[in-house]
Amino acid sequence: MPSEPPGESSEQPDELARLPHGRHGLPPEFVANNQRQRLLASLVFTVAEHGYNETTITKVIEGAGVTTRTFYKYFDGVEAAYLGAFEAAADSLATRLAEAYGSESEWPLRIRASLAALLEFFAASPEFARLCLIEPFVAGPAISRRYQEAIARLAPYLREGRALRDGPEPFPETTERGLLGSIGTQIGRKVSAGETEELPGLLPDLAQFALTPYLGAAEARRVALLDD
Amino acid sequence: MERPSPSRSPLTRPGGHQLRPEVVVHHRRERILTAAVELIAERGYRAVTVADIIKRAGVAKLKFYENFSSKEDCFLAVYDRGLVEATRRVGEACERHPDSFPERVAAGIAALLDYAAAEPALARACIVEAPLLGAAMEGARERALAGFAPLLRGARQEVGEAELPPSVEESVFDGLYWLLYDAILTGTPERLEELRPQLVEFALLPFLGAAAAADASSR
Repeated sequence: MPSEPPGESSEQPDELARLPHGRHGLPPEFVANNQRQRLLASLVFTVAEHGYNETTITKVIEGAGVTTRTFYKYFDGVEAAYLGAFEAAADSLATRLAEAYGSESEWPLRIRASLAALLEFFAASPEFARLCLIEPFVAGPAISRRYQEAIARLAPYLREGRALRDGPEPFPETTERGLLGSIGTQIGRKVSAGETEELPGLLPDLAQFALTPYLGAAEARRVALLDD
Repeated sequence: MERPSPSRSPLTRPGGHQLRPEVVVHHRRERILTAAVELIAERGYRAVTVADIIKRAGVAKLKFYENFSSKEDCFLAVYDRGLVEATRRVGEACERHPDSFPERVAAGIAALLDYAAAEPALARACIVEAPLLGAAMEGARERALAGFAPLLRGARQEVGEAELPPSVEESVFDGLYWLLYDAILTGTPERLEELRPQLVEFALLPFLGAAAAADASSR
């Protein structure tokens, strides 16, 4: 399994909290970095537990073991902290998906491997699934725009499949975004239902859904049901 | 020339006291809902207060609370109204094409987009702002899926030999919702018209395959 995304590990806040106060001899950037990481980690857990609407600065700083003043050194509010955490999660996910995509050479298998990695990523961290897939819509347009950007960032992987199509008509520009938006929502719904550990089981259906426009339903199903 | 009778419109009658009480009450509720929709679309749900709504609607605070227990309650009423009307229009459009799946999808999606274009503030409120209600919106998705189900009714019979996963209708609805959300979040009103063939093709793709879906959506 690739390295954990920033802020994901539940041990991290405790471990960082053990840093002695005052003169510990660490360079200031390091402490700053730690405090920021700690705040992001706490935000992720607070949002997962309470939802965006009930996430307050007080809850986030309590979880991080820092003062309000420290919070405001890094973020001007909950929304800004959310954006920081979302960016960190999206970067980490993008890295994993790039690795998975590169692990196969044929495009249908690349997509299947990427979907498997996506499901594993969120299965390993339901907190991140809430942060990335469910709460952006609750948080509102400023944050759901980042979700929109993340989808746009992943769309090129699917778009590669257009080269495999027989048909002369190009797809509408929005097809890949529609497929990815749907996949995100379906994963989010599993997580909402408390069925995070069942996420990997979605792979065949999601793979068939994602591949059908490019391969046709029958071939998409064949690839989706391949054994590893 | 005869002057317009003052009784022509019940709502402009001086003083309004001769109106039947239920008319006044209904009208007041409508004004509140209209004001809420406008404000939510303009400023975003979180920035709107009950004070803003009653000011825009021109009603007294107590009258607001006779109709709604909170801002959230008022917004839920807005959402319900939008969903009920949207599903009614889509359902009617689908009924006009009982025999052709592609035509049914095209008509249903056109009806939905026409409604969104005619009521842009309501569309924004229901599609982009409603999820901000968080837990209060639980169950909304299931109601929407049930309401829009006629759009994809019978789709599987079109497929032929390929086996589809049981989740495919929901996958399509999730994708359609996201594409609408995406367009309304950042788009211009013209964007909705561009979206029409794109949504139709997206909805048909898993059932008809790429070539037939493209053909049907360009009609």
